[in-house]
Amino acid sequence: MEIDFQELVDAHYAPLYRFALNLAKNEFDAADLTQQAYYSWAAKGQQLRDSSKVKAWLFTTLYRDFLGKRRHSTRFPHEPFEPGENEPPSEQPSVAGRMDCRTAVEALSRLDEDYRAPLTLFYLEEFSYKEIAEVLGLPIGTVMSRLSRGKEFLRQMLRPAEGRSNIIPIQPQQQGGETP
Amino acid sequence: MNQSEAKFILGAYRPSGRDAGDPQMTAALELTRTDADLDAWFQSELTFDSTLAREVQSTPVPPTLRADLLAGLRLSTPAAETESPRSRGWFRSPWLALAASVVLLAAIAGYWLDLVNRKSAPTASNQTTSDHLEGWQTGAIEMLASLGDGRTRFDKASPDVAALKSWLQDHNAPTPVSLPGPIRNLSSLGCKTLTWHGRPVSIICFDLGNDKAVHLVVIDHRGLPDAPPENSPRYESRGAWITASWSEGDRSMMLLTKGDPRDLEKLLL
Repeated sequence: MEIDFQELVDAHYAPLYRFALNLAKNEFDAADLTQQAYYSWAAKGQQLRDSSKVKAWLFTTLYRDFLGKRRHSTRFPHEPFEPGENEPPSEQPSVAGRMDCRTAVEALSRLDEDYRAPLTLFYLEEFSYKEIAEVLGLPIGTVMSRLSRGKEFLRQMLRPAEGRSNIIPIQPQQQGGETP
Repeated sequence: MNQSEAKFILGAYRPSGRDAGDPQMTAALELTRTDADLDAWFQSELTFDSTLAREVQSTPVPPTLRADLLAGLRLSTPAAETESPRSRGWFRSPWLALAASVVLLAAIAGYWLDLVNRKSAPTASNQTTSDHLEGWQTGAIEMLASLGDGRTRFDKASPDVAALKSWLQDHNAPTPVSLPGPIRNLSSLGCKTLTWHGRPVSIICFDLGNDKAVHLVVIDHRGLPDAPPENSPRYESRGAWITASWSEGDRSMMLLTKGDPRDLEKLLL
């Protein structure tokens, strides 16, 4: 299979890095994960017969590499966001239109990885929900459930200061879908 | 499909509208046309998701990442391993392979005849397996292997060799006295330093095009017992690497690449 390195890098390196950044939560590890995904492709991925699968292969490889490293790493303590336990970010956007990159991405980074991974892929818009399920090795229903609940958690974190009470609800409001 | 099921499905609808053709999405979208509450919820969801998507997709990417990736890929893929499907198919025909072999033998014979007629300087083509590479040279080869498989990255990535030389000087690493003529015309990829017995060694990587790279290793050889010769390069090999080593002033240098020895010779004309 002939795939030009430069084309492959240019086509996917930016979203791949952004996915890695949201997983690893620091630029150095994100760059390392991105490089490692491409090196893995150079070593093994060229056996892939269907060139249309290269993007999914890269993202899947990166995700598995992240999981493998995380199992052996103690550098990144697991700090899942749970309603009622975490304080929202100090900057409170009033409406979605005033969210800035740091706030939105920061909120995303505070989610548990189970929600963070599918939501990042969803917001990168590189993959459909079915393809996200393949990349992450999850059932489709689980992906949709995590997207729904993850967005609820994001809304809670990004809720405007005015109108918020001091009591943070234990359960998110029933706006999204329910876990089947 | 009820409203709750539609919300569950539409929660996975990408705000750019790319999922409009999905059958599940189509059915859920159809329901929004008759259910005003569902439609209101969906519009709110799209607004929220569009904003998040825009912010996530505009997260800055390190400016050197692309150059690092390309340089690393070139290092990790020697020219001999990159075959096109066309060439693989071509060799399947025994008659074509035989004809190709005859042509190739004739070309090699012509090349060697030409070589005999040249002056007697050793070339990369008739080099021997190395027993003469010094520790700083084998250390550099190991470092290039680390760069190639992603265990490490360039200290500085840049297509401007002057910028790399400046960085090396700022970091007390040796730089070449002069670059061989053809190399001056190449874009650089990046540089890396290592320390060998307390002595700094510099590596500057250049882009040969066609996914190939060539690397210049530099050390200050004052006090070293076995510096390479000054008058003509000494060609050696180590695995897939073809190397040419020489000294100039108080610097010793090694130029190396993988694959065709003639690539190296052309750079030292």
